[in-house]
Order: sequence, then C-alpha cells, then structure tokens
Amino acid sequence: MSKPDYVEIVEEIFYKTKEKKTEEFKYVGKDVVRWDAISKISGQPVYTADLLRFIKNPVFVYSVRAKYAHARIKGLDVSDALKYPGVLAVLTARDIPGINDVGYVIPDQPLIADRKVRFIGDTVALVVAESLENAREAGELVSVDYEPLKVYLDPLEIIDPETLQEKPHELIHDERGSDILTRYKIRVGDVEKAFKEAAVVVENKYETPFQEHAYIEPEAAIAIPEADGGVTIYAKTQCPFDTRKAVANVLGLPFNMVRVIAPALGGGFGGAEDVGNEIAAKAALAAIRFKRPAVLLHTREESIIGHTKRHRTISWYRHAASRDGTLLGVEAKIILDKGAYASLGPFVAWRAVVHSTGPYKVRNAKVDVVAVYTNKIPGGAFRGFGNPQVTFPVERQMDILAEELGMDPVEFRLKNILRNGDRTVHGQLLDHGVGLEEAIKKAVELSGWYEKRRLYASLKGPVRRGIGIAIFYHGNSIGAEGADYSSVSVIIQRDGSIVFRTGLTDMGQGAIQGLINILAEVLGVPPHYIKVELADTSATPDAGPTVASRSTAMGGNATLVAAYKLRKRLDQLAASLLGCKSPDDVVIEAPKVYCRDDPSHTITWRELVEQAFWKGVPLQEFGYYRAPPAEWDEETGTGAPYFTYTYGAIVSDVEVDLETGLVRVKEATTVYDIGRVVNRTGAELHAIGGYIQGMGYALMEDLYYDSEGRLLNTNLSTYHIPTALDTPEKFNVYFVEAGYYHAPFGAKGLGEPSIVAIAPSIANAVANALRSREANKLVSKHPLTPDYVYSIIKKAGVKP
Amino acid sequence: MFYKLPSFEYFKARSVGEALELAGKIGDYRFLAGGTDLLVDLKIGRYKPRAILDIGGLRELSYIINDGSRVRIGALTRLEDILRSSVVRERLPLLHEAVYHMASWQIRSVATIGGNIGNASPAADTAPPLLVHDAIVKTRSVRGERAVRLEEFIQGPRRTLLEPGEMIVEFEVPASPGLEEYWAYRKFGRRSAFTLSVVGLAVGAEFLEGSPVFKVSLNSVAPKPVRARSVEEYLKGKTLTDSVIETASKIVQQDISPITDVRATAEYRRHLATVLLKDALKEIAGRLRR
Repeated sequence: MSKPDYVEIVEEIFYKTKEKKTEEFKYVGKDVVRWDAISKISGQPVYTADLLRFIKNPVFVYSVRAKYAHARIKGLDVSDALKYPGVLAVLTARDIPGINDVGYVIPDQPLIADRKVRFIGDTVALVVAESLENAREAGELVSVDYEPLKVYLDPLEIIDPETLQEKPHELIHDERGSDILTRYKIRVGDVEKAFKEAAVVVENKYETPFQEHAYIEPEAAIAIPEADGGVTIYAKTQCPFDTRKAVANVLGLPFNMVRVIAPALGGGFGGAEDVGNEIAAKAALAAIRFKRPAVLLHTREESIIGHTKRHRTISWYRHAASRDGTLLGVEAKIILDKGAYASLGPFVAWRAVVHSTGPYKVRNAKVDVVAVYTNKIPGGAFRGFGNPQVTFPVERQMDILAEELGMDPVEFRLKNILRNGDRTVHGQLLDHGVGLEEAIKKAVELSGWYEKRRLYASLKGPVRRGIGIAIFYHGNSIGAEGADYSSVSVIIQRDGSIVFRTGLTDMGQGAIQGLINILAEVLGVPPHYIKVELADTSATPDAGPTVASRSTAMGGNATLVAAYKLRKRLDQLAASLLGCKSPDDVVIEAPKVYCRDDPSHTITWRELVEQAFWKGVPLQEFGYYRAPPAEWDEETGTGAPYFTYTYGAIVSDVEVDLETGLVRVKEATTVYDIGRVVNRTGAELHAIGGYIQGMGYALMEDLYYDSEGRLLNTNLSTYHIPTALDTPEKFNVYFVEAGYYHAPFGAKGLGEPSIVAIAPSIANAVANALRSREANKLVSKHPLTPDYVYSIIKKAGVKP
Repeated sequence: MFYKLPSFEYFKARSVGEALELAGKIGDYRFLAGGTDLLVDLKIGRYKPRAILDIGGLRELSYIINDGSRVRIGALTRLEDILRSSVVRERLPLLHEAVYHMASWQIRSVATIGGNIGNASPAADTAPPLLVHDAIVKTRSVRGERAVRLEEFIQGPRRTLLEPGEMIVEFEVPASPGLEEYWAYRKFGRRSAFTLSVVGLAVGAEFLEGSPVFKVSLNSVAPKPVRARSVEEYLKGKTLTDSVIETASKIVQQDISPITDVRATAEYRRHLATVLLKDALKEIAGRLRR
C-alpha cells in the first residue's frame, strides 16, 4: 500500500534532518519574536471586544441566568422586561429558528433553557437592548416561575462508589433517563493474580478540584448580519469551525451562510471551546433578528459562571508491586464530577482512562472511569484534559509505593517506566522517540535531586524543605475522539511577501509561531515576510480544532507539506535561472537566492517570485495532513489511542511551614521530551507558564459552592490564582528531543503537557518535607491550602 | 449577580466645608474617596444610597505631618503616599509594613486610609498598626469636631461611630521611640500578594520607665479589628522568655472570635493567631535582647 504524498514528505524531511542539531537550523528552535507581539504590547485592537470601536449601531445581548441550580421552569413572563426602556426583545427558547442545543459532544445542553435549569449558569432568556446597561437592568425583570428540585452537588449522591451503579434519585437529565454520562474501562491481564502475588499493595483515595481557566479576556462576541441572510461573527473561540457548526444548527442555516472569525484570544486553555459556540449563537440570533450588529460581552462573574471548568475527580487507586520494585498491577475507579452538561466530558473521560496508569509498564490493569452529572458548572476542556486528574493519584501512589519498598522515588520510577520498544498498557508498541528516561535523568541532574533529598532529610526546625518528582506522558492530538486532520494555505504575493492561513487559532499559546518558523525554515525566508491571517471559516482551510496540543505536530505537518511543495517548484525555477547543477543545489536565503557552489552569483527572492508569476509556476499551495487513525477497543481499553506521546519529568523543591501549613515552591525543574524544539521562546515560556498554572491548581485554586449550588467565588478577588510573588525563585527548563517521524522535524506538542505533572510533583515534595509515613498517605488531595496541609501535620503528628 | 452600578445622584465637593454642608442636606449618601471598596459594595447591593458624595478630590485632607509626639495623617491620603512617606517609614514602621502588603500599586494609588478605616471591614489592614499606636480618629461635621479612639470608632462589620453629616478628617497617630524600633507585623493570606488577610497581626513595644509595654492587635479574627487586651495584660511587667511567649500566644484565643468563610475556617484562624503572635513576639524578643 503506497503512502499518501503528504506522509512521504513529512517522513522524508524528518529522516533528512534527523541527525541535524537544533542549533544548526536557521529559524526552527530559535528565539523568534512572535508575529503578534508588537501589536499586543502596544495595545492594538486585536481582541474581539476591541472591535466594538469599529461597529456602528449595535444591539446588546444579555443572558438572564437561572435562579436555582436545579428547577423545573413552569412559566416565564417577560412582559415587564419588554416594557423597560431600550429593550428590543426578550428571546426565549421559542425564538430559536433551528435546534435549541449547543452541546459539544452530545446534544444535552439547550442554548436557552426551556423545560428546566440544571445549574446556576443556565440561560433562561436573552434580553436584546440598545445598551448593555438597559439589557442587564431589564434582565432583572424577567420573571420565571420555578419549581425547585433537589440540588445534587456531590456525585457520590448519584453513584455508589463501591459498585459504580447509579443510585435512585431525582434525575438531572430526566430526558436521558440516567445521570451517568459515560463509562470507560481498561481490562488487561489478570489483576486478581497480580495482587495475590504482590509483596506490596498500596491503596488510597484521591481528590482533585475544579479549576477555572482565569484567562485574561472574558468572553466576547460580535455578530454582523449579511445582506444574503447569513451572518459573520467575531468571537472568542478556540475552534471557529465547531462554533460555525453550532451557530448554523441554532439558526437553521447551511454552514456556508455562517462565517466565524476568531480574533486574537486573551487565553483559552480549553475554556474557549464550547463557550465560544454559546456566545456566538446568542449574538447571531439577535443580529439576524434585528438586522443590526449584535454584541455580547461577559463580565468576569458571567465568565466564571458561564464557562466550563476542569473536572473535579474522586478516585480510588490500588497498586501492586513485587519486592524488587516491579509494578505488577493497577486497579482504579475514577469518578468525574461532570457538572450539569456533557460539554467535552466524554472525551475528557476517555483521555483520563487512556492515561490512568501513567507512563509505566503495566501488564495487569482494571480501570473504570465514570462521568456523573451534578448541578454544578459543567466540567469541560482544560489544558491536560483529564490527564492531570489521573496523573495526580498515579504519581502519589508511586511515591507511597517507593516508600513502602524502601526505594528512592527516582529509582523506583526508572525501574518501571516506558522505553523505546515497550508496549503501553493498551498494548501499543512505542516504536519511536521515548525520551522519558533521559528526561528523568536530566531533571534529577538539574534539580540536584540526590543531594537535596539527603540534605532535606536532616533539616531541623519548623520550616521544612522537601523535593518531589512526578512524571507523565500525554497523547498528542485528539486520538480516537474523531477524524484527525489539519490544513493550511500559503500564498506568495508578487512582491515576495507571504500570506499564511490556517483554521488553527491563537489563544495566546503562540503555536502559530511554530508554524511560521517551519514555513520560514523550509522556504528560506525570514519570518517577518509572513503575514498570518485570522482563523476564518470562510477564508482559511479547516484545520480541525485548536486543542489537544495538536497545532505544532498536526498544523506543522500541513505547513511543512505546503512549504515543501512550493520550495520544490521554486528550486526548479531558480536552478534554471541561475544555472545550478540541480534544483537541490539552490540556496534560498531571502532576499538572496544562489547556487550552493557559487554564492556570489545571486538573484533576489522577489525576482524569483516575479519570474514564477510570468512563467506560470503556481505561487500558492495548500498543505494537508491526516494522522493515521487511532485504534481503541471499548471492551478492553486496548489499541493505539494516540499516534505519539510527549513525555516529561518535573521536580519541585518546596518549603513547608509546619506551624502554619504554608507551602512555597522555591525551585522548579521541568524537562519535556517534545521531539524537536521548533519555537524556543514559546517552548520555554510554556514550561514556565504551565508550571505556574499547575502550581495554582496544586496550592490554591478551587470552587466553593453553597448548599443551593450557588458559586461563592465568582471573581478573581475570591478565586485565587498565583501572583508573581508566589512563583518559584528559580526555574530550570530543559528539552529532550527524541523525534517523531510523523511530525515536522520530529516536533511534538507541549501546550497541555506543561501542566500535567505539576500538582503531583508539588504534592510529592510536600509529602517528602513532612517525613512521615502517615502524612505521606494523607497528602491525597489538592489544593494543598495551608489549612489542609496543617490538618495533615496535626493528624500525622509531625513535629518540628 | 451580574453586577451593575445602581443609579444615584452624584455630588462633588470642592472643599471640606462644602462636603459637610452637602452631607447635612442630602441625608441618604455615601462618601466616595478612592472608591475601591464603595464601587464593589454598590454593585453587589450592600449599600443603596440616594446620593454619592465625592470627596476624593479634596487635597486639603491629603497630608502626612510629623508633629513631634505624633504623626497626623489626612483622611484622604492615598495608601501609596503612605507607603512612600519617609515619616511613616521611620515613625510608624508598622503602618508602612502593613500598607506594603496591601493590594496592588493600582489600588493603593486610589485607595485612602480614611476609606480603609471608614469602610470598617473586619479585614482592614491599616487597622492593626493604628490600633497598636492608639490612633485617634478626628471627625468633623457642621456641628464641630470630635476625636474618638480608633478602638471605639470601629463598632463592628461596616459599622462605625460616624454620624450622619460627619466625616473622618484625620488620624492622629501617637508615635514613640519604642514603636519605631520594637515592632513586628504578620499578614497571612491565601497567596503572597494582592490578597485579603486570613489573619493580620501587629505587635509593638513602648517603654514606660525603662520597661517595655506590649501592644497587640489583629484583624480578620473578630467582627472588627481588635486589640488583644488579655495578651497585653498578661505581658505587663514580663520579660519575653520562651515560656512567656508561649503562654501569651495561647491567651490571644480569649481576644478573638473568628468565623469560617471562603478564605479559611474559624479553627484554622484561631490556630494562625497563636502561631503568628508567637512568631512576632519572638522577633521582638530578639530585638530587645540586642
């Protein structure tokens, strides 16, 4: 069977450059100033809400939210709101021309609630008014007749943790007949036998909290009606093509009548996936109805209540090991607190089950993951996507096991990790770059692991130090979630400047810079020749969603393919113009183009492009890449879920005050195997940014609800994220480059991986600082707030 | 939930005299100084005044004067000005330290000391240092001036002795060589900066006939910032030995009555009060030994 040409191109370039050191590239792996840095720091209008200044005669859309976390809607009276000055309409579920649903994976989430509300962020009506103030004020006058229902905040009220069976209760999703959203499992080997033969068995219950994305830009959407009955929407969305689909469904329009443009996003982290669909659909409804631009702007409070969070989890883990420290088996039950709607929960649960045994050789495993609806803000996509929630318990278990076995945590891990040629728990053969061992060894070296481990064990006094390691792997891209493809278009203009288009978005993560570096490297032009167009469903090729750490590998491959084809044609032309021996001898160092053996004889890039124009050499190219299909057996949890994995090792060095329970991270070491560094600045800042976000998750972030299901910390003065003063004094950042042959120059993703193992590395460091076998087991949930850590210190009787 | 500023009448005073006159006339009003607390409180509906009386621009109440035995601070002095004042740093180092740990540069640049005290939050961070200094709150109305001890002035959460038509004009803060040298401040929050106190604590020592008199104050552990009178009583005439410090830091439990909220549990706050006091007293003991 012959390979598609795009696969051959990617492989050809990989093998040709496999031995080339990253330092020897011209743009790949270099510190290049991002394409949008100057406009962002100089305050240019790059974000959605900025565009409001260019909009004339808009209407404003405000979402009236539920008063109860769980209630039936018996009636709705909008007459008072309609009388309010400036109000044009109050839209309810009945005003939706298409399908009243914005569920991301399954259709369980009405855009405007009709029968019942399931959490406090549910929208019951949209007020459309001449000003945002009018709309908000009128919103208070919408009167809803509710029949309050029992509010479920704890998934264990709905599911029995022993049997994992649903308990009788008042259904949140009565239309589904069950509040169990989804179940996944792994059944590999003989777990019973493994535990019977084990010398050491360790078991514990773990909890991880909800996490708010806390992106700097709250949601915004501007919809502009088009003359042909269509609509153009500028919206904060990570995935404009998914947003288009949702809006078209709500409006009952064909896809080509809905145009979604994603301006720069002030942070996404996964949070701008489904909320983007919701805000775009709301604005579009009003724009179509009133034939005027419609604007929707969220306050921070609306943002926190109105968009999904990282799923909270409760899990029970059992590990078996032999006396020599070989892992024999894993048994786990993991419950995802789903909140009110599915959102991306089915995919998050799947990623959780795939990664549920960590980057270890595991032959016997029995794992169940269940996602259970509750009346809270829905869990959705968040950087890491189910993996941090399982990496925390796995990596805590590894440290507890190591202690029971009397082994150093690093030695214990090195004995069990996945290496090249091993098979994952799913039976997938790892036939390329597994840089995990190298990453661990490098992290150990950079952090001074052994010295500190010894030194900290002897410290006296109330302020202890501790050092902890956590490792992980993270499947790149979407795996078995769906068709996995990407595409870009590259058009060289007659003056030699270049227009680059892709449906991948920039949410601040900067992945597009990696694509620019790849394009510049292959074509031989400086990055500033390239202009990046906004992701636009009517003007850029669909590149799939901007999620799952897939932009660099998937978008990079598509870029590589387009650049390669253009370069081939231009080399051919340049060779004939310059008289080079072969097209392979052509050197492009724009603005200079010359033959390798005669650098003094040159033409300019612009001349080459002009000649191409006259000689009919096409200056535009479309790059496409499709990943090999993933394999997954639902019954056994086996197959090849992802085409490649990013690996990493994190070491955290902390200080713990035994009297207050306060934890401070003093030094952080992150080593990631990302195949090849294509964007040095971006990669380093991801390593640091991911660490800080993970540290917030580990130490201070959580959502607090009252018993009625109302969120108590709805803004950033009560939802605490780390400040500059909370960040470690020192970061050691290093990359291992064990390339992947089906990726651009071997590069793998880093977006999500950079948060996955932070919390467990900090928790392991805290446990190390406490120097108590009992405390080690008690460090079983986060955030590790001072009062929680102090309660462990007290319970375990840790004394200064 | 989706906070909007309610409508109100707006008055801007050009002088203290005019402010008092307007206040007397309007009746149902709130003063706007820096607005960092007021605007949020209006949005969440804590207050629904008919009018807002803007006194933020009254330069005449923005000053720090080193006046021999005391420092006088105008009610509308911005926190950032207090932070940068060498008079405060040298003569009221506890206040300097407390303000250093407050909010962010942006907020300190508009928030005023009068607002921080007048808002009467149990977590007001300028209160513990001012209480340690036995600060006097000077108020004025068309009826004249009053001077009230800060400890009495703040009555409870958001309650003060300020009467209708009356405004805070000045804080008279007695300074002493002891408090310039022998002090310790602790603020424990949910993170290292830009945070409200879970517990805040100011401790200082003054000298009476050569022997130290200890003064202790805390916030976020009671309905209002408090002086730890039982601790002070116990420490009278004692030397700060380890065992004295140990006992004193336990006695503080009699002076506080914390609650559980989003920031911490009552139990943990009680624990922190003891730990922070012990720590602070040890620091002072160290300085006293030198």
